[in-house]
Amino acid sequence: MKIVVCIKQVGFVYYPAAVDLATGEIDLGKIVFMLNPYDEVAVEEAISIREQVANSEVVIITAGGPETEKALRYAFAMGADRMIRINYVSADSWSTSLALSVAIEKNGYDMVFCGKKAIDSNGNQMGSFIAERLQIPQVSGIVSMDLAVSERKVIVERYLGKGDREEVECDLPALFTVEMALNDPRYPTLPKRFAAEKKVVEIIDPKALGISPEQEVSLTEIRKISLPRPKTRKVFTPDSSLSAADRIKQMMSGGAKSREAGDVLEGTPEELAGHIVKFLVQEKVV
Amino acid sequence: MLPSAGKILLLLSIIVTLFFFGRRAWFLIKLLKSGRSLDRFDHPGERWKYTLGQVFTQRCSLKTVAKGDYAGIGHLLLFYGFCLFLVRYIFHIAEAFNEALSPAIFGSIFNNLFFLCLDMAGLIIMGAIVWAAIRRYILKPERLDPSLDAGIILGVIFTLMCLHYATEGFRFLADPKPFAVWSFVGTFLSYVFREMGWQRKSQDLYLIFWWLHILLVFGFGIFILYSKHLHILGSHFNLYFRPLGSKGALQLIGDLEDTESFAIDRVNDFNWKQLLDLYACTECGRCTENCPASSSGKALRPMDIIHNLKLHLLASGRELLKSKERGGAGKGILPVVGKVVTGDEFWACTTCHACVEVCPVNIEHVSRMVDMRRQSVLVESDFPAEYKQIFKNLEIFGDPKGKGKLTREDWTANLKINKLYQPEEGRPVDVLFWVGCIGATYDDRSKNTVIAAAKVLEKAGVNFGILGKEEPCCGDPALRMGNEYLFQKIANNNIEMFRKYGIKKIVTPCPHCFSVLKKEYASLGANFEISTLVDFIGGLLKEGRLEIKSKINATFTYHDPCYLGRHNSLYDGPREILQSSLGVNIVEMGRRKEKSFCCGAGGGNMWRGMSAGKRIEGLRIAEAVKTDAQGIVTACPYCEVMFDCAIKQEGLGYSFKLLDIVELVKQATID
Repeated sequence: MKIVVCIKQVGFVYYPAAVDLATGEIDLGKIVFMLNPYDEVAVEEAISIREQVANSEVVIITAGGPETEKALRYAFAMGADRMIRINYVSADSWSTSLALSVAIEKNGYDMVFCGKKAIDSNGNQMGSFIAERLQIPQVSGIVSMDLAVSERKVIVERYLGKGDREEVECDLPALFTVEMALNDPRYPTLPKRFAAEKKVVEIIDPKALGISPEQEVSLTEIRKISLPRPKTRKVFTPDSSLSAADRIKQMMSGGAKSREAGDVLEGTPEELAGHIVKFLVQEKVV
Repeated sequence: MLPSAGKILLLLSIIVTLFFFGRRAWFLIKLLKSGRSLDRFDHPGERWKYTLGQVFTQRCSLKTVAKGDYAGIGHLLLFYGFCLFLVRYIFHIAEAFNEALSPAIFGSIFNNLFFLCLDMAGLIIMGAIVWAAIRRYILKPERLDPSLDAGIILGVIFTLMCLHYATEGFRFLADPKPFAVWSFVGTFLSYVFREMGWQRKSQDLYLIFWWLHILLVFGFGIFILYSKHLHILGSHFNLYFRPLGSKGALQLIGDLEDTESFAIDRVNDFNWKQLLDLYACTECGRCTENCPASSSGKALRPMDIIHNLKLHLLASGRELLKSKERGGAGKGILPVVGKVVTGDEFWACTTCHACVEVCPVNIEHVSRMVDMRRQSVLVESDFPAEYKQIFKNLEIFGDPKGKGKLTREDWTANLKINKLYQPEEGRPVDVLFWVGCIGATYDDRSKNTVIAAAKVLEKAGVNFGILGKEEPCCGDPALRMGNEYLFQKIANNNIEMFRKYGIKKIVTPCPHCFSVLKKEYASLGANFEISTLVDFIGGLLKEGRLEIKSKINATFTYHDPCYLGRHNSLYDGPREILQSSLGVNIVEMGRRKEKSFCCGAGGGNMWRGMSAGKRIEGLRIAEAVKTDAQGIVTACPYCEVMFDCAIKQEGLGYSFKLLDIVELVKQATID
């Protein structure tokens, strides 16, 4: 079983200490770099599977400059078999996903794990982009996983919100993005840390991946970073012309405004996507 | 005085006894040798002086005497009596082979005095034994285990005394000697036996009792090596091989990459001194009695850990000696961490050192806890999940809570304080004021202490500076929690930074930072002078650089922080400041100075939640409130955080004050 885990070394920004409160500019010298916590969970899951299934291999892969090897080695020290760094720094997730997916394809895989999102860019997109490029199924935000290795499939659970969960059966090969709740990542043992320091990182030059400049497309660009506007807080005050009993009823009802019930649609992903696009066009969003 | 057949029998008995004794002793020694190596063979002169001094003045026992616990005096009596009887037994055996080899060879005066002392000693011993038995089996103090082992020892010693007197009695009846009157109990008994009509049989009875006596002595001699009485051999060596370095300093791991050098898998992975500790334990229970974790209902009971390790070592001894390879349990060999000692036990330790301080035979409990934590964290990576976040925070953000360095200067908001990375022109920095994670990041209460300290130092005209945003954690939590790798990384970085800024003098308000910067950093090559804020202020007051404007007329109780007191022997400085300089009236708590009761924050416990039992800080505040003082004063930011919490929890926030000593100094010198 070949398991590939995509990780990212993220920059943790202290707010408001590292941000210029006048302009909204982030002081790059004050960023603290660390392994993305969601990716740490992904690595832990991959290693747990490797421990359960014989003849398995866990490969950690990241795209970035040499400074990202710190996070890479930490992830490797948790118990992986190989670590790869694609010497590639891109403008956005879409173009990074190209490099990652080509490298993953070259390596071969049965399962790919990603963190649900990176805590600095908060895009939540990398997993989907890679799955799309690899043309494999994807289940996002998993909170539990059961393997049925012989049948080459897994059964996972994901949060649906408001306490509901969805159980999904998925054939392998597939990509999974993980929620924090999936597991409790292990702390690397000291011998493994030293082994990780010594081990040579497999560095891939993007040219070696055969990516042509035309393929390196960014779909997004960052135009502006600004500070959040302070949120207005609505404080509910009961109508004082009402009697005490009515005022209490009003407070208990949660406010005078009634909520509109929404539609919960069902259908295949293609059908649902069609509905959503129609709705967006209707609301003149697109 | 024995017939030749008797002499041969005696010789055989001696040989047999020596054989069994020697065989067991060799087994015990081999087990010691199978432990990790450790150099405690330095400074023999100092070591001999200490050991002989402690043993022959019985200071080891007398130091344990406290109100309500006078057992140390009983031990002193038993010890001296035992020494006397040891000499007697040597003569006893010698005399049996050649009558001339009696105490009389040193002259009749010596002989008379010797027997007088001996008989008196015998009575005192019997009295002490009865006292011990009443305590252990009837009064039953909490710390004593009414075990069979103890019962046998008490019983045998009492019987030996009876046999000694009976033997003497029959001897003087059968063969009156002129010196007999000095052996007054024996003489008295000889009269009794004569009244009983045993005159004719007295020679035979003498012989019978003589043999009974000597055989019981031999048997007991062998039994010593199989029971807790082993301490009479182990404890002397334990005193000799005590750590000579700074109190409380942990020995750092030399080569972190060599896992074999620090992994504790099986019990003889401990070093030989730690194994000797197990032999030396007399099972007095004082460690458990004084342990804050034990007192608050946690799983940790230090004596139980020592005892369980000892039982396991002896039970699996043969297997341990057979199998050379480390790792992987053989028959009956259990992994120490998790099986012989559980995580609940060693993680509850606050490293307060009350156990080490009170132990009469110098057992080192605390370093053992840290060694087991090292195994748990570095080798097995099997420890409670919430501790992982502390380590990650230290590694990534530089402080245990993960608040990061950017907010470490927030407390300086309205003050003009020199920062080492951006020193002000014309304001030299003579001394680094090391703030510490609590003062810099924890909460407003802690920040008040540091602000007060800065104002006092400024008032005294001290040219100090802070590291501010560049100040990292000192690494103490990582060290005490067993993450030696993280600690050495932090410490080496800090030492580099000290070198970069040319720092030669440091003052800090936190005793934990002080301890680790002074001791463990030194073993990593650091070279600077460091003092606690309390000591520094004491110096300023003495030099007249701080003037007391108004005395403080209040009654407070003073809490000796573990890392200021037991770890660094700084008890009087704070008291002097409070009483002489500030005019505070101190009412002391029962448990003070060396016997101070921990606030519960040490050993990394500050940064993680304590689980079972009562809150340690609650117990201490309850004790403080009982003194009827207006509040509690202490000199450690950790203690203050814990007490703040406890006071609020008891709803005493408005009636019981909590102050750091420097806040009082500020009040008296500036306000």
